Amino acid sequence: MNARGHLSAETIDLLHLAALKPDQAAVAQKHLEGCAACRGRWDELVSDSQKFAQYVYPRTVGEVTSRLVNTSLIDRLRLWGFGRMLVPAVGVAAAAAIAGVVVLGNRAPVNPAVDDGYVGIKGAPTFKVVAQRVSGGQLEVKNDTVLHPGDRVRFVAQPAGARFLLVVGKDSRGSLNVYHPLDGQKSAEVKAGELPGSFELDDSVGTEQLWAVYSAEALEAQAVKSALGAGQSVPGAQVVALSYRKEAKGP
Amino acid sequence: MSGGVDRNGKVSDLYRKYGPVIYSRCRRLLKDDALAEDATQEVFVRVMRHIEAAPDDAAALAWIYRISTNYCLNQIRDRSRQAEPMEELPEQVGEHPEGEMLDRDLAMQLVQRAPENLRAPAVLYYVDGLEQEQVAKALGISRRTVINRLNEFMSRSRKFLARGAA
Ligand SMILES: [Zn+2]
Repeated sequence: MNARGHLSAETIDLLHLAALKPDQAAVAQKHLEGCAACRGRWDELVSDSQKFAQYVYPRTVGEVTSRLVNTSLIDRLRLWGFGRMLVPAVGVAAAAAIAGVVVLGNRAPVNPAVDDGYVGIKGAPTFKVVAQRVSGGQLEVKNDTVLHPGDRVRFVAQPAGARFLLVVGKDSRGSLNVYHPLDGQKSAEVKAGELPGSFELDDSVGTEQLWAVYSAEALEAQAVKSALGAGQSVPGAQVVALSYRKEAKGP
Repeated sequence: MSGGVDRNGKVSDLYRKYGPVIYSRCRRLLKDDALAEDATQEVFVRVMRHIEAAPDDAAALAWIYRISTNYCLNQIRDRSRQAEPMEELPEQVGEHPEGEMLDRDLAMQLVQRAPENLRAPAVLYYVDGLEQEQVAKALGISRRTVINRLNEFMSRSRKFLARGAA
């Protein structure tokens, strides 16, 4: 029973999973018998569950298992021994991680290679972030991944023909920092693969942003930061923009 | 990879077990069977590692609530749906979020107008009917923060509805 005199969603879900203790289950069942609101929620879950079993599961289980069982980027990194190449965290105040790939500025979020000749046939550059949980385990950080203070992130660049890379992050307080080359004044030459170093996430919480700025020529960090800070596009660059959320701790 | 068959079995068992809860939440939030089906797969793929590592069902559910809420809210934002006509604010809305139960559809409409940081707590509390402690656990924030965000959500929603009525 929750503070509002009804069964909470968790209680209803646990009852459905047959995960309540017998006495708790009995109390919940009794409430369901006498409460139309909770009964409605229960019936909805039962009906959705039948739909899932009858239609959704058979249609989707193949893809779900293949996505989870097939080799992931992280497995490949492990295979290549990247796990042992982690260097100690560097003292960067805020750290960075990921999300969807969007092209900055006034351009639409489409393939960033469209109007830049140097990317050529190699396609668009990509930038990935791999997080090492403070609680153990690694994951590739995606759009909606929630990270926590103490987690570490590493970057994997795929420049697709671009020669230089500058990685800029904006922490939840709004300050811009250069993460690669660390505190650098200019873009650094880049090769495909993991960038050296890993970053430990600090205690600040909120949404943080990250930009991987690929270019054919080395760019001045200050000019890039000014453009990004003002929400403008960076001339002569292919920008992969990412954002992620940092929250206090896991459940 | 060795053990591929065992792994397949484990993934499909967990999908069969937790898929219904994920699907039901996604349907409730997205109000569309096809979108809910896609969302169920995406959420399960993201939550699988956490479910595997969870000590019990309640811990697994906390991850499911967090990840499915964030995923569905992102979907809703990305669809940038047209604003739907507002319904009347129910009578029982008072000064404190405790004891209140907003109509689910109205709550979802209000959620879409709320700032990002208020959305997940409001969905979990008003749409799902989780308790404040469970919302705090699912989102990894303090109960105090949950209460503050729910209060802010209610106060903004009241102002919004008052403006709409004026
Ligand atoms: Zn009830």
